[in-house]
Amino acid sequence: MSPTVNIEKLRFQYDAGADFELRIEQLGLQAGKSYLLFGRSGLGKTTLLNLMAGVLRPNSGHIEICGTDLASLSRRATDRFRGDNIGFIFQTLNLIPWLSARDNVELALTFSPERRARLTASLADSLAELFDRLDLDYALADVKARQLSIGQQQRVSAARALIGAPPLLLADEPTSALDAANTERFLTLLQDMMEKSRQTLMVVSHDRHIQSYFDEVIEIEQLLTGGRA
Amino acid sequence: MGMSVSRLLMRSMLDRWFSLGLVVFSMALAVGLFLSVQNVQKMTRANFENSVANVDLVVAARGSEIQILLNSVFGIGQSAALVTAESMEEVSRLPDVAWLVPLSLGDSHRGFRVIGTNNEMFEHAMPGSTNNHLRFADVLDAVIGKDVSDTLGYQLGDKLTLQHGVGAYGADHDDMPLQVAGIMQKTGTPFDRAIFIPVEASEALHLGWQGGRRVANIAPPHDVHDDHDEHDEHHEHDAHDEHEAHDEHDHSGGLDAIDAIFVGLKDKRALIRVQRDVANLETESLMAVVPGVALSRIWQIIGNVDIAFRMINLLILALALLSMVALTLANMENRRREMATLRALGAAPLTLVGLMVAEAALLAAGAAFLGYLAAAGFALSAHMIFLSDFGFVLHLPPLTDGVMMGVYLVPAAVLANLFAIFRIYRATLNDGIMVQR
Repeated sequence: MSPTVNIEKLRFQYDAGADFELRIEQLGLQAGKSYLLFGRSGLGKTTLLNLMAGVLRPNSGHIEICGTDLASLSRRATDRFRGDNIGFIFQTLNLIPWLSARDNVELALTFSPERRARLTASLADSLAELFDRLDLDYALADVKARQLSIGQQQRVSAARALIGAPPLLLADEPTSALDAANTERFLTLLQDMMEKSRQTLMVVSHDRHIQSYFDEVIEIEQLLTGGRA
Repeated sequence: MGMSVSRLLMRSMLDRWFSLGLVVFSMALAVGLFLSVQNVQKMTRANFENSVANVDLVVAARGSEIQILLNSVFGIGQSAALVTAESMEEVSRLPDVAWLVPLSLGDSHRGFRVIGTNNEMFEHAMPGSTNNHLRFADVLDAVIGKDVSDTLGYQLGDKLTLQHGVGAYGADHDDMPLQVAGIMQKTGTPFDRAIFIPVEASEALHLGWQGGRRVANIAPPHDVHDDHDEHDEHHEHDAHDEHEAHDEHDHSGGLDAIDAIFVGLKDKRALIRVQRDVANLETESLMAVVPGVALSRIWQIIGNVDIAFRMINLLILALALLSMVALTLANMENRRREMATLRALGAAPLTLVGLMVAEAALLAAGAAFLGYLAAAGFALSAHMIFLSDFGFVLHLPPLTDGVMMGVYLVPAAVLANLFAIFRIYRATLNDGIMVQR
């Protein structure tokens, strides 16, 4: 079985000759497993996520997601591919504040007919099930995102990342805005959900305390062999 | 149903309804102003042109075309000199002339101008066809415009006394009462604000006057004397010794002098020939003015004012567009975050540009629509004021004007906003799937 993510001999610079160069010799993420990419900020986490999203293109090397080399896709196809195959959860402010919780989740299907097609139940049922599994009161579905608490917002954004079952979930500091209790609750729910599906989860965080929730922990400083040149 | 891109746009705009509403409001005001000014300009011209639609030539003492037209049709200014009865006779003998209407001007009655004329005025010269049947049956008959009747409350059969000179405070010709024999239908022209009397009566009025001062009391022409006697209120026979100034028999034969003549031709192709014939008359120095030509001269003069108005209007419109650009830029940080989120969900950057372009286009289209409604509302509410104060009908601005406004405003708004949209687009490309903090 091929890995969900396979990165090889990656080189990336924002500008030719710039100080910063991101290098990854090899990174493989197996389907159905959860990974914590651990390290302090400023090492290129955001750059790596943008590369995996296909928003940035490497200078050399390969990024394969679900068996597709991102370099083989056009810009437009990359956008579609990202929508179909990757669910994102960010630090904060990653919901559209003027949309309801329901609309925010459904937005993931707007740009990806494939994810819509993957729904096994009706949209309303899928939504209700996700809310239920994420311990969200379904009555919140029609509340504007900006009116939800941070903890609720984070779970809604998890629901958005999970709906339509994209094979890969990428999360950037998903717990940094949450208190200890909410962090534990959120990660437990996430862990619980990942076990049931065969999705791959990669969380990028500087918080060592959460490592017990993951199958594997990768030190960014070891991964990014280059770092700052 | 799910979230469609259009629903996303609608929700986004609804969330910002107040600030967007202000922008649309300011653009709509600018559009409304533009359309209203344009509408009033058009209507003014159409009504001016309609006033003389049936008159082929205006003959008057040689002078400025514009002055002749303004004086004869619109009652603005004065005649440079008079046209004698002999000249009028000569003009009527020209082979191409079908009808002619004498105009004796310079009198007023309670603020409305009095025009001495003949029955041909109603039959041929009056715009439209609703007043063609009106006639002076008697030399002391008066036919009044609709506005005169509405304002002064005159009914058929009412008596009115005339003043010499123009203005509300002229001395009364209370020795010459006329009777309202006809009330015109609305024409939407300056004639609605005129009192028409037979040119003979007008002549008689002036007989007793010289240089604006009363030099003699006059009696009305013989044929209506009985009518006059019935009028109880009539008095002031205190200057009978100067009665010799009035010579009834001399006067009844023809007219002394008038201010201008409206001429209708048998064939409009003879226009130039008749103009030349009139210019060559030996009796006195006259000219024949083509009303349309004189009007176009006036429009040429007013044209610069029109352009200035239009420039100011466009400037206001440009300011409203700028306020939209400023709003887009002010909202840039929020938009960047939303764009990054949408990109993470698989939206192409061009789709996001499309959303912002569609928003600008919708705002402009809404502004054009509301602006048209504002102009239409203005036309409806100012309708009566224009009718009573300016004597013409202000119609609704044509719908095509509103549509054309949208046709120009939508791309203009998109172009103006493209500056802001491009900045957000570039930032979005840089931000990728998340805005760096």
